[in-house]
Amino acid sequence: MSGTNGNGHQPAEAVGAVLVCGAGITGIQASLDLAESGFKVYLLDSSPAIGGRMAQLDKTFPTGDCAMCILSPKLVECARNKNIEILTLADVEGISGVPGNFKVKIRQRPRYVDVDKCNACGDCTEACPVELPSEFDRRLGTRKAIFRPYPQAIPNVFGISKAEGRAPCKSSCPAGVNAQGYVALIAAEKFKEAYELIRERCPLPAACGRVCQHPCEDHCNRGEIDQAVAVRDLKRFAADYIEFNPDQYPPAKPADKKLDAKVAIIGGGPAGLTAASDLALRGYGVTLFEAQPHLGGMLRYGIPSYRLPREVLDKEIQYILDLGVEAKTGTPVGDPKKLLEDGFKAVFAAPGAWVSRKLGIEGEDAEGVWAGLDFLRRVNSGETPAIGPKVVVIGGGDVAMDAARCALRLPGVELVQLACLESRAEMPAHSWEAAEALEEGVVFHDSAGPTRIETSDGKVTGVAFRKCVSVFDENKRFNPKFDDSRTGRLAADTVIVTIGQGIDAAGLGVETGPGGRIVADRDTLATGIPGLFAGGDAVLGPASMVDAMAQGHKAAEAIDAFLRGGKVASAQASVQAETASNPRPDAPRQERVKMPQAEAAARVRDFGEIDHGYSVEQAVAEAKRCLACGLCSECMQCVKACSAGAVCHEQQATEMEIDAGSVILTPGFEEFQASLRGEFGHGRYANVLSSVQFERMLSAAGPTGGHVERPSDGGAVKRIAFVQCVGSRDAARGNGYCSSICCMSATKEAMVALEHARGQQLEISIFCMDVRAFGKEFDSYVNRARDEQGVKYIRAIPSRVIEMPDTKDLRVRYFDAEGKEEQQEFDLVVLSVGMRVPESLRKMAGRLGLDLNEFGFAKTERLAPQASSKPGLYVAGAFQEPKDIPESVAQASAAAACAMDQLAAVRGNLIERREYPWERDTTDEAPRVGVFICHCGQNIASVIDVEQVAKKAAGMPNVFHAEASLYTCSDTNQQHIKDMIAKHRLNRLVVASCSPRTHEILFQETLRESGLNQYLFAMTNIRDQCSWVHKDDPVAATAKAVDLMAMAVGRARHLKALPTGQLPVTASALILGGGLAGMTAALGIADQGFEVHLVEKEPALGGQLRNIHSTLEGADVAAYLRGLVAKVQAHPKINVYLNTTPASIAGHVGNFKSVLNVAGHELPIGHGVVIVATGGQERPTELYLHGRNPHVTTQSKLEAALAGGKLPPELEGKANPTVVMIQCVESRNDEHTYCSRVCCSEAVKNALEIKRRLPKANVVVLGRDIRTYGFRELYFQKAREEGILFVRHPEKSDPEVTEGNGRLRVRVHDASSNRELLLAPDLLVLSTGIAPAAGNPVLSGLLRSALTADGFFLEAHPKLRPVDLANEGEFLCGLAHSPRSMDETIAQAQATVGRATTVLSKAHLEIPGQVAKVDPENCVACATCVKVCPYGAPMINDLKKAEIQGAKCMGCGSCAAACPARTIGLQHQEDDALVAMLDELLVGGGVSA
Amino acid sequence: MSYVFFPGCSLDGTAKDFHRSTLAVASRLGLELPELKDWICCGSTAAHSTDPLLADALPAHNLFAVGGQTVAVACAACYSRLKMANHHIAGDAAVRAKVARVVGGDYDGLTPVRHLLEILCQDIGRARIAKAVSRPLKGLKVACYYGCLLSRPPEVTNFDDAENPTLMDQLMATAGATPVDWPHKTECCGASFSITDASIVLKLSDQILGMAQAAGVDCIATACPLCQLNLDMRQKDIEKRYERKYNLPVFYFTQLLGLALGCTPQEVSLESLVVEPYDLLESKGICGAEARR
Repeated sequence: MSGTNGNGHQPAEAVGAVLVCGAGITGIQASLDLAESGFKVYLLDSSPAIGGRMAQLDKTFPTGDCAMCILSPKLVECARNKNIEILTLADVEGISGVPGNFKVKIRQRPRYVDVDKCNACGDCTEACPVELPSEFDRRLGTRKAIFRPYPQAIPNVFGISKAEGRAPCKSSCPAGVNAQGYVALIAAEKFKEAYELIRERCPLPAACGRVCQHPCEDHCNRGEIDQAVAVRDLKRFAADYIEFNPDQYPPAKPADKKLDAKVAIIGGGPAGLTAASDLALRGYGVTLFEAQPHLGGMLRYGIPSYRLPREVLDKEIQYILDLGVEAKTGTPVGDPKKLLEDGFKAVFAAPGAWVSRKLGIEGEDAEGVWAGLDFLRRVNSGETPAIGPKVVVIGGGDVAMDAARCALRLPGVELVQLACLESRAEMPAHSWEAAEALEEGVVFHDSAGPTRIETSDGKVTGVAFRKCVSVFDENKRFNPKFDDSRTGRLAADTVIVTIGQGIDAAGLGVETGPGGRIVADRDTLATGIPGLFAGGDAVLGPASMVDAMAQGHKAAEAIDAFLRGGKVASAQASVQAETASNPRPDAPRQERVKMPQAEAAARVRDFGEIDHGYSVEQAVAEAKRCLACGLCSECMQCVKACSAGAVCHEQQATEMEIDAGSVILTPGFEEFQASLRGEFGHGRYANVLSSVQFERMLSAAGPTGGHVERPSDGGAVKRIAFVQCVGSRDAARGNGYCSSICCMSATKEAMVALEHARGQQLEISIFCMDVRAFGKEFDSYVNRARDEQGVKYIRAIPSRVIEMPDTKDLRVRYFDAEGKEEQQEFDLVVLSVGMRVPESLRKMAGRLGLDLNEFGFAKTERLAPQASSKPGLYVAGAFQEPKDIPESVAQASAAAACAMDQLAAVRGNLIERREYPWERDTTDEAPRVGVFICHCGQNIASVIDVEQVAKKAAGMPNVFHAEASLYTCSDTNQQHIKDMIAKHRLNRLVVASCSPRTHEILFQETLRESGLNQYLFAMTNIRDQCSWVHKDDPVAATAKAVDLMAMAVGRARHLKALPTGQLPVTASALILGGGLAGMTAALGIADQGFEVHLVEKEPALGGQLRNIHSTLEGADVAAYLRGLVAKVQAHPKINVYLNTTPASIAGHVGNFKSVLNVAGHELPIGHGVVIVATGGQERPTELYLHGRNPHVTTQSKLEAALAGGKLPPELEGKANPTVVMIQCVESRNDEHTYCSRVCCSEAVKNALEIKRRLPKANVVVLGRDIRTYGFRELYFQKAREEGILFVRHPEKSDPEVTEGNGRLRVRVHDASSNRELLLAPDLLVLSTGIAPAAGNPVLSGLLRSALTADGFFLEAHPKLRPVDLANEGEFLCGLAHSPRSMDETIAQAQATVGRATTVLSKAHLEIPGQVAKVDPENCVACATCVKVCPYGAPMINDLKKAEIQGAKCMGCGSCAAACPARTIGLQHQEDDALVAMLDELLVGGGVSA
Repeated sequence: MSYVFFPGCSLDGTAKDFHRSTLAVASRLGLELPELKDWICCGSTAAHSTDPLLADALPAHNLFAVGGQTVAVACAACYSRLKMANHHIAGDAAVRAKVARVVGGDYDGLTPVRHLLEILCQDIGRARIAKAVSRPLKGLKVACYYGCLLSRPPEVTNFDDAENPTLMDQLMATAGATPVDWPHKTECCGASFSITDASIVLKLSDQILGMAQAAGVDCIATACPLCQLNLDMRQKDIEKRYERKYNLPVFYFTQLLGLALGCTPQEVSLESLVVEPYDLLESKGICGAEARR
């Protein structure tokens, strides 16, 4: 790529914006740091909300914080930050350009909800009938098709899930009836809505629900699993429901808007009726001409009433007539052209197919031979044709079945036989029709071709047949072949011939085609005569009712277009939408609910209806079988429910291009699919859960409300097994790496489960290979779980999980410590699933040309962990390597720093700065309060009488305006509030709505934009703590809301304008420690143009790095160090102070004043931030003869000895020496409980190096666990493959080292073989671990910053503020934080750069108004405030009075509460305002009863 | 559809009923299974526990003779041996060369080997079989038992889902029966320890029968001559030794499928089962009294 130079040199056209891809906690942190440092940020995520995987967690380890409670403020911060533009449902399609100036192509999928209009009231979700498995809860629970992943989601708006295609039931319906929609509505017991939806495309629901041939059911995806959903029967149910509850459905009424044009329709069958209904609803005057005495066509005269009762049909027809349709029955139309001449603007001819085909054999004209349709017409008209006792029906179609079954019901008939050409399997009748006919006693004779109707005296006596061998030829054409040698005869006195229908359209004077069908355009139904349209059976040939209705719709649309445009609209090819596939092929089998039917014996007695219809319970149960293939059913209930008009089903995907100077990739990970480890039965056994599912189960917001239960039966859980490394450390499945978090996460889940059990019996076993608790404070957490809570860590990976068929208990099979096969039963098995890279991410990397490692993670170098293979693109978080939250957050800030590095020159260019009008001075004004009460859609208003609350407010003293509004937070309403402030000259604002946490700042902005101080605002929550919790008592809830509102008004009257202070920032950093951490941080900050004071106590730079020579991967660390030192020393912005220590550190963020002790001289400096990078040291030891036997050494000495191609003297010249390494020397014991994190990898590194040089050397590593996390695991694997032995010894059973006869002897208990091993090493290497720096306590005092029990610096928050110290403007990295490896130190050091620039990049820092203030009058300088303040804000000043440093004050009020002289007040929370609130509540203040 | 059928020794001896019912099912479905001419033993357990070359050469001799057509196998042990030989020969040129010397020709290890279950479910397909079912096995609850050889090792046999195979379950469902999910589908029955140390078989087979009983099935369907033999012939011994009552008929899946396809009990050799199935089949209305002879 030309123009690219990797040295960070600034191209002129650089863009001051950064794209962050992936909005989990890593992306969020990176975005916040960038935005706070003066860059515009695009924060993109492919899901509908930001928050990523952390939002799914219940608690975090090891502190047990509620994950959502600590994440949510960050989410809100992102939403509030004007310089972070959140792009959800978005994917990066491609990146072009050069570092500093990229063009990024982005595709955004539709949300189907307008983000600007949605107020997140949730009314749509209430209305949505479609329940889908919740991905967020990993299918343990359900959600609606319109949804928000979780309540705290940002953007706080809803969205709709739609499948790629439409549900097959819907796309296969010729008439376009939304089958999935009405089935979903029935499942949700919204029967009236279901009926309305059906009616939109089906004017005859009750008839269609009885006789439709339901192509929808033939295409139903449920058919693959068991049987199709009974879509038709459910339609009938909806119609029946309205029939029994007529009050729920309005009677038909003619269209409001009448059009002049009149339309004639010929034929009152389903096609004609549908067209009539559609046209009448559009306002046309419609006249129906019907040759028969009644409307209904084939529905009336073709279909027997036991399938479709006459009164059902009559009612539906009447409904259509009530729309204003005029019917002329008994009126055949000879010439449709005449109708056009008579003033009809258009004519639709749908006369049907009424001619019965003839057999063309001898005797067909005899007495007793009936044409099928004639016979049915007579019967269906209520006549009783006289037919004989022995009836033979010829034909095998549905008409034949109807004829046979009708005949059976007639008096005097004894035997009905049916003969057809086809074999039983080929019969054209629907199988259920044939089955019912058989049940009723019709005798079938298949493969029979009639040859002659036998007669006597002109009357039928029987039918002669010959065997039909085949009906169709190879081309599937009707071409019957007979075997004349095989003949038969059926005695008969009546023969009914039902072998097909023809069309008689000759009289209509229109062009006809094959079979006498009318010729009409396929799409518009236009005939050759302008204005004459034709459809139905007369055009299609005999078809089904639903086909006829489809033709009716088409005719109505075509006629409407013709009449509007004066001509027929151009033929529109019907768009065949893609059909959705089965979304849940693994859904459990569940038999279809059979519709109750009359017994066969009873039903042949009369023509009463056979099917009895579903009960409500049956219908709902059947409807719930629907798989919701289209996901959203497009029933439009959400559109109706949304008062804000935000739902938009027509939204399309959009493409956009943005300019960004750098790109940060933080796309995260997905969990391993647990079912791939088939032996554990995930997905097969109900009580086997993935760890993510279990996490959701533990969450109070999860599917069980935090209740731990067996999914199989909801029963109590007394025994839980965790299986570790499912999808991790599994080379066979391509996941050879360690996922780094699972040991701790399982321990945490165990601890939380035990907490939930609250003393109930609960035993937890964790099956694992190693316990990898390598992080800060992790080991003590595991020890607590094991020693105090009794969690068992069993060193075995089960071979199999078996579900006991009767109890659904799970039997876990494994080998115990004795090596014996053991089987133990559990209620729940949790599989700790590892992290992996989703396929979609690999594809994205491919599009961007990004190099990935063998597992699909971003390829990075240990010494530049954030740099991707493409310059200008940085990575952070789990996509770089599996890691936990603090490491991800640190990398986030580090990546932000790297991204800024390119763009320092254009910092601030694209930042939006809010300009506010001049603030109005309200000091002397009397309070004029405006009160706004929010409906929040239905959220508040459905419980609380908001108008009443507003009325009460209006009556309060000082209130000059009060109103209730639908959504107080909407954009339009902000303008309205401003207008009201101007109109009534308001100077206080009260809003009673939702949570100040999310909305306070919005209203404060509105105040500022109106020229009012933002502190003149009081908010009260009448939703979360009122309408939501008092749903059942609206009266009391309203009273409470009035009280809350009144208290807010009371407070508002006493609110004072508070100034926001400004502090100038000294744009330089003090960095303590000149090792890897300090130098990395110094270069990062200096490269961005800020001055750095780098302080090192030693006479040279380098720190611990001087003792490291290579990385596990083989990089040359010494060379790296030399380069680093040279760069630091040459940098013009870095002042290096060697032999220097800090003497004092005073001041606060933005403005520190410190004194350095430079080789004995005091040097005062000013700086804006402090970075602690003071490192650590190797722990000294005297254990295992160290210092007494020359052949006992440490890993770092061994590494030094191995560096530069040398060998330690013990190994020199020996072919197969024995080297023994002992892990955890002076670590993880009672004195030093923590793990030093790096020693296992160091041991593996050195062991591999020995093996490389001396392949026959015996290298044995003794330890309790091997903690080679992340990709370090690959080297552990390699070490084992190279023959290095790893011997695990049990807890409290450390190896013993002795010497005798000049040789070292090591005795150790091997846990896996349960035996003592005796080793005689030539060299014994101790992994001694990392100790905190000796100077930590002193520095801790200077900074007023606490240390952990282990002696390392304590960060502000172990999860989300890993490199911040508790005091603002003070940061922490490297070994001063905790033991860590080089790449982690580099990431933390760069992270401090990202964090520090949020301060250094600002000219001023804002001090909020809500700070404590001392009235010096009464202050006796007792220093109580100094002691209680957690932030070090109070100080005793030169006047010997307490003073609060505004920059440090967090406004918590601790000092105000503790001050014995009561001379400290917390602004904005003054006593008089609180008293006023109590007055309103207790005395009743200004609210009149 | 035609395959070259390798019956193997078991189907020629102890599992004649498996052979017979296989051919009965095949003829009902229009599946042609011409027998491989002059086939020899696949080597079974004996060969691979004594001589690896012999273990590959015996199957190779048969597969080489097939000449590239697809081979159909019913016996799970034969299937396992043929697939294993293919795996070795195709994956290792040295083995291929050695085998070539024994067999007297260069066999490439690529002749496709399909088990009957794969052929029925995947090649013929459930839809075609469903059409041919004339006597659905309504109400018959079956535990489908695949044994340990069909699916293991998965990288060699590549048979269905190694941990939870369902091909036989699908076939039984197609036949109208109710396959019951149970956890011991692929446990080992003790196999040829039947000959050397029957106590192992008694213990392992007891666990399988016990789990099937706990799952509430009426009978077991098998796809391996040894499994069928151990569960059926030794059932009485197991009941005696562990003082339990099972009385679970143990069919070859071909016998049940054959019945569903309309074969007579004789056509599928029901008479050779040790645990008599007639009471069960009569109670479900699948066979009448005439089935007993």
